[in-house]
Order: sequence, then structure tokens, then C-alpha cells
Amino acid sequence: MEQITFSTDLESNIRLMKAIFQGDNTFVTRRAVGHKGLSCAVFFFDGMVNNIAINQSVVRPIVCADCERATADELCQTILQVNDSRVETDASKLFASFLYGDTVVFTEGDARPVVVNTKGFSVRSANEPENERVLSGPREGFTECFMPNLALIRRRLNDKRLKFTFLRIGTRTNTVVCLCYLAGVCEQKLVSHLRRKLEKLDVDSVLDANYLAERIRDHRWTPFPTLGTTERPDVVAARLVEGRIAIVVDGSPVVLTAPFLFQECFQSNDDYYISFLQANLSRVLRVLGFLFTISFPAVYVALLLYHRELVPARLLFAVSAAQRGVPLPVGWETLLLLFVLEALKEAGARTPGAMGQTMSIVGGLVLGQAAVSARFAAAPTVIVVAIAGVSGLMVPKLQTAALWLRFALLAAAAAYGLYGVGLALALVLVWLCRMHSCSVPYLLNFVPRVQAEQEDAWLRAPWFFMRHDRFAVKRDLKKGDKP
Amino acid sequence: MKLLAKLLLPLALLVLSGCSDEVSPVSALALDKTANGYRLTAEIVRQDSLDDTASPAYLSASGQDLPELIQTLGNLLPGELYLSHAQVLLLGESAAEESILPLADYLCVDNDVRLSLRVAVVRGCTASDLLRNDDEVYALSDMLDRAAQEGTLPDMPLYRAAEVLHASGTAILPALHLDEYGQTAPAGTAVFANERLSCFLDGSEIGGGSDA
Repeated sequence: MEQITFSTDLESNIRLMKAIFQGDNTFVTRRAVGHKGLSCAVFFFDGMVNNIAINQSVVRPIVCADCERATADELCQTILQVNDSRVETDASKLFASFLYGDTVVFTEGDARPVVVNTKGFSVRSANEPENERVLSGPREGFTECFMPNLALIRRRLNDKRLKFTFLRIGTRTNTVVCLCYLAGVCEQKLVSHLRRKLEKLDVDSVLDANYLAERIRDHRWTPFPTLGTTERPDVVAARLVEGRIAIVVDGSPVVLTAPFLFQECFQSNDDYYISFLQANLSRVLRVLGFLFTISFPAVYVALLLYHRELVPARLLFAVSAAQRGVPLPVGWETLLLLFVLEALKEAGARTPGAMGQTMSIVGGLVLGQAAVSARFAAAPTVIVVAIAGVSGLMVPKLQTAALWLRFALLAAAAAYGLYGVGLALALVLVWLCRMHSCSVPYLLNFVPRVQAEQEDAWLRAPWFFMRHDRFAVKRDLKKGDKP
Repeated sequence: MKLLAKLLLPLALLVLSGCSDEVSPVSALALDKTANGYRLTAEIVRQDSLDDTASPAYLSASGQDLPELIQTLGNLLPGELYLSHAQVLLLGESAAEESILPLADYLCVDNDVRLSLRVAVVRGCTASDLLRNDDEVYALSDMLDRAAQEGTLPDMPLYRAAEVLHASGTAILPALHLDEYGQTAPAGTAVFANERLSCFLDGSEIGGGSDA
């Protein structure tokens, strides 16, 4: 931003402000003159401010002021009746606040503007996030509004060690990003590491948390998530307590958390709010669901192409009967049906609610039945693909990984049968073992040497067995790691 | 370009590999000796749709030895003659009177049959007739399983028969026949000596409590 210098002459300051925001019809200038002659100019953006606050706390005190002149300090300290105002001499900070809904007040005879917190844009309520619903437990969710999001976190963590560190990222959007952590619980090296990464970013705009997530996460090309995302303040609070860091981005209801370990993909918010017996059963189902969704089509193809002798006789007869007359080999047939499944999911996700249901019925039932009747596809293949699709929904955090691995394993199965599937799965395991999130091993809690942390890895121990500091980042950062 | 090649490689593998041939699964085989050589009858499982139940169809071929017979049978079918799910091999009396060790070795080593394939000798009729007597898939193997569990017939799958024949040249195999009602029934035990059928023993003679 070019150097902007204000003068002590109020009229020239008004002209300067109008020149800067020329062409912006939401820019409002209000001259306010006190009954004893105090002359001020109030600037704000229509729609971004709380009008009642401006009328009652800014304009009225100026109009009623018992003085002829006042400095910016006097205006700030004795005249304006607001809880948050300051004299701002840094032009970039001034405009950042102004563009974000604060009001700027100039007074005659003082070149320094006063910034008054009058943010008042409309925000939606903190409803439960659609994609993170729970059966029981808190139902609040983050919104697109920054400060209320931080308040939702602080309300859950009444700890003086809770820190919110602000950064501004994006040369165009100048987006406020907040690093949240519990000092003393979270490893300071992790905070510095993430802060450095964020400060180094040279980007035009940050309109959502994912703008940052893809840039700062480890292993950028992996389909496995290496940064956590959530829209729930209770989840963020829990992760902060465990020693993690949260990154709140203004304008996004999604909060990033780091480090993110593989086990978290199988954890659900519900796990901690319901009986551990039920929660653990659900976790086992999720793990099986993930294995099922990536490997079931591949195993099916491998069995029918290379290992028919492993299929029970009567099942083989039925499958062979169903395959009779289908024009494509089973590998291609499965591949095409997987594409159709993804197409239906994509169409369902992009269509409005009522039409989405119609899509599901037409796509899932009518098309599936018609394809089988017309011998475009065999019924067992449709069943296999449908089961793979449904079980994939059990682990939403691994949907991207499941999608890619499903196709990769299918190719391995078509090429090398069950040996190919086994080899591909082994490679995936090696890949996972090599991954890190903020220099913390991705499979940390599955490492046998970290016994204590396994109480919330595959299964969740009952709360009465759970330790407070069950997250092991602090002790298990490798020597010489960057953070 | 490299990325594109990497992405296309799995697809290429998918196209170039695997087989999608239709298979004709065989559930049982029957071998008879004829004047000109051997006759092999295969019980092939037919199921046209998921709604149908599996039903047997029979195909026969003549030849001089088992490899030729299997090849001839395979040529008669639109799909691959698939032996992995065959569970019973019936031997006619005349076929069993010749050395069965080459036959057992061939099936154990050179083919994709399971080593758990049960071998039985047919008394009083041809193996083909007994095989065609049932119109239910795996009825014979179910009966042999049950009889082996109950002890009324010897439990002698192919691999075990081959082992004992290699070791001593003697073996006992279950025997089947068509009873007076035309039903398939256990018929005691076929005794092999010097790799050939020597005689039959009834249930009372082997002391197994059989009433066959």
C-alpha cells in the first residue's frame, strides 16, 4: 500500500478518504458536529457495522460533547462511549480494521485517526455442522465469523494458558488467521514451526481453511489427511487439551488442527460422548469399513480373474451365471461401475436436497436394476460396488484416500490377482509408516514403544482409565526434527 | 508427461491382463473303460441366471488316456472346462482293474483339481450311468462326505489314495452302486492291490458296521 499521510485539517482528511474509496458506494462519511463546535468525521462501510453502536456510542457522544476541540486521545478516552477504541497511527493496520467493519473517526486539528470497534455484519447462528452430526453431545458449530469462533473455543477452555496468536495472510484478502494452543501443553517448537510456515506463505487470497491446509501440510501429494479439519468447537477444545494446535481462518467455519495422526481418521466425535463399549464397536466397524471399501472390489476381481478355486462352489456358479452375457470383462465392468458410483455421489452432492434424493433413487435403484436386467452389468458386481461405496461412507475423513486406493488396488488385482492386492496393501502400509504430520510420525500411536498412548488409538479406553496427557507429541518428537 | 504415464499404467495393466473367459465348472467325473479305450463323462453345472438353481448337464468324450479325454471334453464346451470345483471321480469296475496310479498322479500334478477330490468305484453298472442317475449338483459328494463321517465308507480323497498307492500299491476306496430302487447307494469298499482293483468288501466284511 502506498504511503498515506493524514493532516490536521479535517476537510483534507475527508477528501483523502473519499479519494481512496472512490467508486465504493458502501463507503459512508458522516460529519458530526458537537453543540459547542467539536467537529469530527465518521467513516464506515454500510452493512459491515452495527448501526446502533455508531449512533449511540460514536455520533451521539460527539454531538453532545461539551468542548470545542478534542485530540484523538481525548476523543478515544473521554468522549466516545465504546469498549474498544484506539488511536491508530499505522495506516496499514488502520485500513485493515476499517475494511473489516471498524469505524474510523477523525477530529479537527489531529492527524491521528481513532479506530472504533463497531463490527456488526450479519452472521449465521452456531448450528450443528451438517457433516459432523452427533447422536449425543454438544451441538454447536463454528460459523464464518472469526471472533465468535474464538469465543466458542474459549468458552470451553477456561484456562489462562490458552493463547490466540493472530496473523494476516493474503495480499488481497488480508485474512486474519489465528493460531490457538495451550501454552505449556502444546510443544512450543510446534507452534513456532507452524507460525513460520504460515508467515512464509506468499498468497493473494485465503478464502477458506483449505487454502492454507494444502499449502502448509506435510506430504502434499498424499490422499491421506495430514491436517485435521473440524467445524466443531468441542473437537477443537479436545485437541488443544491433547497438545495440538488449531488454526482458525476468518471466513471459514473449518478449523485446522495439527498434528493429525492416522488414528484420528477413525475417531468420531460421538466416540467420547457415548459408552466406550458402543464407541469401540463403531471404531472397529470403521476400520473394517475402510479396509472393505478399498479392497472389496479388488478382491472380487482378483478372485474371478485368477483365483476362482478360492470361491465356494455354489457362489461361483451363481456369479458365473450372473456374468453370462455381460459384454465386459469383470475388471472393466467393476471399474466402470466404480466410476458410475463416483458420478452418482458427485451428482448427489451438487444437487439441491429434494433433487438429490431423486438422484439417489434413479441412480441407485432404477439404473442399477436396469443395468442388471439389460446385462450391462452383473448383479454381483453391482452389489460389490454398492457395498464398497456404502462402507466408504463410514470413514468420511478417508474418502479421498479410499477413492484413489480403490482404483489402485483394482488395477493391481486385475494385473496380478490377490498377490497384487497384497503387494499394493503392503506398499500403502509402508507409505503410511513413512508419513509425518508436523514431524510427528503418522502412525505414532500404533508404534509398540508408545504403549501409553494406545489407550485412544484403535480403541478408546473408558474415561476412568484415560490419562490426561495421552497425546505423545512432546515426548516423541524425533531429535533433530524441524519443529 | 511422466505423471500421465504413471496414471495410465494401471489402466493399461487392466486392459492387458486377466481373462474373462466363461467357465464350465465340473462337479463330478466318471471314467469307464470301453472296447476302444476310455470314456470320460463330466457333470457340468449349468446355471443361467441368479434366480435359477444349479442343475447338472452331462458331456461324454472317448479317448485313449485321460489328458486326451479332458482335452476333447474341453473342445466340446464354449467355456473353459473348469475342474477346480470337481468333488467326485467315479471309476467304473473295468477302469479300476487297470493301474489307477498314473490317473491319480495326472490329476494330482497336471491339473487344477483339488486334492480333496473323492474317488469311488462303481459296482454293477457303468460309472457314467451312476453319475447320470442324480439330477442334483453335488448330491454324490454330499453322500460320500456323509458316509465318510458316519464311517460307512472309507474316507479316501485323491491325494491320500495316491499316497498309499505310491507307498504300498494297496488302497481301499469307497464303492457305490444303484440299489434295487435305482438309487445311488454305498456298496462297501473296493480293495486295490498292486494299484489295481482286487475285490470288493461289503460292510459286514470290513466290520465297519455298514449295512450296505
